[in-house]
Amino acid sequence: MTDRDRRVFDEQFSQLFQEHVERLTRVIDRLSGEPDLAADLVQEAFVRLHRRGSLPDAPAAWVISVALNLFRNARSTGRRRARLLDMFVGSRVLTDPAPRADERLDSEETRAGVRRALDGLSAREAQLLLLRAEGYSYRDIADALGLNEASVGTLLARAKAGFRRSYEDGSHAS
Amino acid sequence: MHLDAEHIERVLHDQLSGADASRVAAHLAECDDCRTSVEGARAEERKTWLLLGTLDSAPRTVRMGDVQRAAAWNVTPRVYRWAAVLLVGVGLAGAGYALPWSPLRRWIDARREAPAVVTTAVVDSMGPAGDVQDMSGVSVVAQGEVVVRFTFAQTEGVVRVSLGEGDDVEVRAPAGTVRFATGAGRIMVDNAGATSDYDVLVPRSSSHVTLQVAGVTVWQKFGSRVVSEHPPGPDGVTRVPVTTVAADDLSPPR
Repeated sequence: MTDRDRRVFDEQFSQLFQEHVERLTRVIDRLSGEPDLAADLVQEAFVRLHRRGSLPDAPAAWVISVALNLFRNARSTGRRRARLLDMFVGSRVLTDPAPRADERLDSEETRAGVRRALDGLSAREAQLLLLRAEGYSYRDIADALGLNEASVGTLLARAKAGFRRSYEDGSHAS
Repeated sequence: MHLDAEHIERVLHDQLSGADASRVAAHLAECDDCRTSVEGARAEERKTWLLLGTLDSAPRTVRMGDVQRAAAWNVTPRVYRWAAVLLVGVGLAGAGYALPWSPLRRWIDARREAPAVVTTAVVDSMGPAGDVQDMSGVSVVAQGEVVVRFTFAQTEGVVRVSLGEGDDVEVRAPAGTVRFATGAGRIMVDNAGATSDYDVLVPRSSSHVTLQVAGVTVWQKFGSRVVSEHPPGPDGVTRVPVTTVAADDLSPPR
């Protein structure tokens, strides 16, 4: 790799990093309930991309896919701590405008119910939901999760419906 | 024909393009039901995102510099963390040792001064009991005073003390029954629960050798003179019981 190629790669990598690091960390954090794990895995995903020395055709999807695979591996080894349901609430970044004060839903019970509802979804549905919540495009989601892009909207609608149903069932049960 | 779930989602997320976008926009302009569906879906989605937001914690910020360093050094964040923990631990231990009243310093010093445990397996028939095999034993150079200390009085057993021509004070016992510890000028025999006999070989040239059982002196050699209430046998070996010991007064000769 020439110096010029290296500079181009560094610029592209930096742009990709700035664009995705926080969103992807939030996705893995929400999936895992383990903020330290989320940061470690996302860092490792970007490290692997950096070592690659060149960007793949779909760099965002690549790094998402690697981070999700790392998460799956970490979870399957069973070496991780139990999920932390009582972590304090940090800043929310949503694709829609910030919620009003009366819309805040940050009680412990709500969080536990949300966690149960998310765990009730299939891994793919949960990932789909969380990636979209961070504003990832249908193309990126399809590439990262190995889906047909034409069906992402339908799958997303199902995932949202499943999540809402599971959450409301849990709320009524409790 | 109303919008299906796929198209409603795509309207929400601005994921329509070209002719599809124009066609859907035209339909929504005319169809109250579909507009209602889209708005309903938008409201539901907003609630969903709010709920998901309750899971947010405050993960560590991943920094570009960390990624570049890790990529260059082939080191993972976890390794960084362990290295940091190790450094902090070493630092704390060092600080703890440096304090003048440090219990850590006292403990380390005590360990350092403690005699090293030496257990030597010897297959040998050395010594007066020629039928003894598979002995284990230790020795120290007979310079200055040498004390051989049996920690406990046994229920049975003797110490066979003999004089020889070597340079070392040697203590031997059946393997596996006792533990030896040696230090400068001393041999300690941890004979707790043992019932065996022992062979002690003392160099004739040694100046001062003392044998103790449970803290009581039972045999001593000063120069060429041996002091013990047990006389040597016809074979020149002194058999000193390692059982209940009388508090002999074996003061050095004047």
